[in-house]
Amino acid sequence: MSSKPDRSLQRWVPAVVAGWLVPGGGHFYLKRWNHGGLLLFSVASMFILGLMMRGRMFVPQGGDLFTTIVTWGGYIGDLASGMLYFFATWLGYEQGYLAAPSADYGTKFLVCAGLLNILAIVDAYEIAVGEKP
Amino acid sequence: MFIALSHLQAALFFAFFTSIVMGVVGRDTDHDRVRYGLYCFGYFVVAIFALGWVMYLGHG
Repeated sequence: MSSKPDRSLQRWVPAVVAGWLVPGGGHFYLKRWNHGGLLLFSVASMFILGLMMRGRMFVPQGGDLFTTIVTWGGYIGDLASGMLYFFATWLGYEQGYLAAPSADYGTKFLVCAGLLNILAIVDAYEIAVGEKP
Repeated sequence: MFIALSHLQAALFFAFFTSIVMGVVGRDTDHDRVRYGLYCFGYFVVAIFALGWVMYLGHG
């Protein structure tokens, strides 16, 4: 690109916050309706499938290094889904340790939904500052 | 409502949704996005079956 990216806060903060709170929200804010819709569909579907499989939300824990990394990493992944996570927990969704393979897949789906949303947020940031067309 | 997906079903759903996101964020034109999304999905499916066979043969 010939023009230099504009990284001033007012350029990218609204898009990043919108993208975090609502999957695809950063793209909606930037008027990329189709891309925002696809991102919302993908992230929300993955999150809802995770809930339907009775996936577990991570709770940060201390202790040994492995437990700390896994639980904090999982918690950040869950949190990255934005309003989906807040609504699910606010409406009382919780699942202890369910000994079923499907519940284990569900836990991964919940985290992966958040990780996909992080990709969408980064994309919204790059578009907002002008690094990407 | 509870759904119990098999490992294969869960992996295919994962591949499908992840490929859509990768396609949207990974390229700059819509034509390239569609191609890249399909490319990612194809490779996910190949990897699923390849690793499935590796695990099957590895367990004897």
